[in-house]
Amino acid sequence: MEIIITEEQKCDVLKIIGRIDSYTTQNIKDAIQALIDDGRNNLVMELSNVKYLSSSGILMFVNIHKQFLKNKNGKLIFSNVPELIYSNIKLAGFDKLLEFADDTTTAIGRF
Amino acid sequence: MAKKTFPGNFKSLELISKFIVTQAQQAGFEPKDVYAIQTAVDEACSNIIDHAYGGEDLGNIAIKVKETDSAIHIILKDKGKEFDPDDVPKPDIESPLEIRKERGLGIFFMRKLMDKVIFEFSKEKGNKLTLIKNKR
Repeated sequence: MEIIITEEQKCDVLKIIGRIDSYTTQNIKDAIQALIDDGRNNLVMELSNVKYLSSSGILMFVNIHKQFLKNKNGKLIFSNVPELIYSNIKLAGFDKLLEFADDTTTAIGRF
Repeated sequence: MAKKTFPGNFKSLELISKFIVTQAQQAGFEPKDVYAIQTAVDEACSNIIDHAYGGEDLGNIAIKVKETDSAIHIILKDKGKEFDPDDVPKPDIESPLEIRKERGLGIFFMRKLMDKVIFEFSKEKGNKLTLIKNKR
């Protein structure tokens, strides 16, 4: 798993490559937390190169999203989510909670 | 029939997925079902490490894949403590999403994505989990 972070004007784009499972979820959470600690909490998660997303990964994203809602500060948008990954997010009911964009340019434009 | 044993740690999950994806593809499942089977097995193995063994590298996960004319059977065995799915609280799907307590999502996925999920335990043999997906 690899994370490429690109700083845009109003947000950061995290492009994740590989698997998000019980082995890699903590690393992704740490990378996101480091940005939040730095005051950078407008985040786009670019998932086009994610091959697999487990329940542990989904719940990690949901918890960060809830933290942003609770603090009324910060926003998480998912872009380019592969269909099979989206169908599991939907199965768990989180398609209604999390925010999605068809592509990264659209996601960046929302900040 | 294919058989493989993996060390019970999270690093094994990627190798387990590769093994299962190959088996499901060879059995003729379409990509959507291959992903469903991959998810169910990954969640099952994470549960074995987290709950049956209670940590990493405390035992192995033995996986057997059997194909019949109508289905694929994936049998996962571990020597951890008894895993009772009823001990895991059911996912809370009633509360508003913002305050919902997240739990039991792995088992929820296993049951939703497979046609049959059978948990068995014996003191001598440990846990045996059978995941069955029917061919369409």
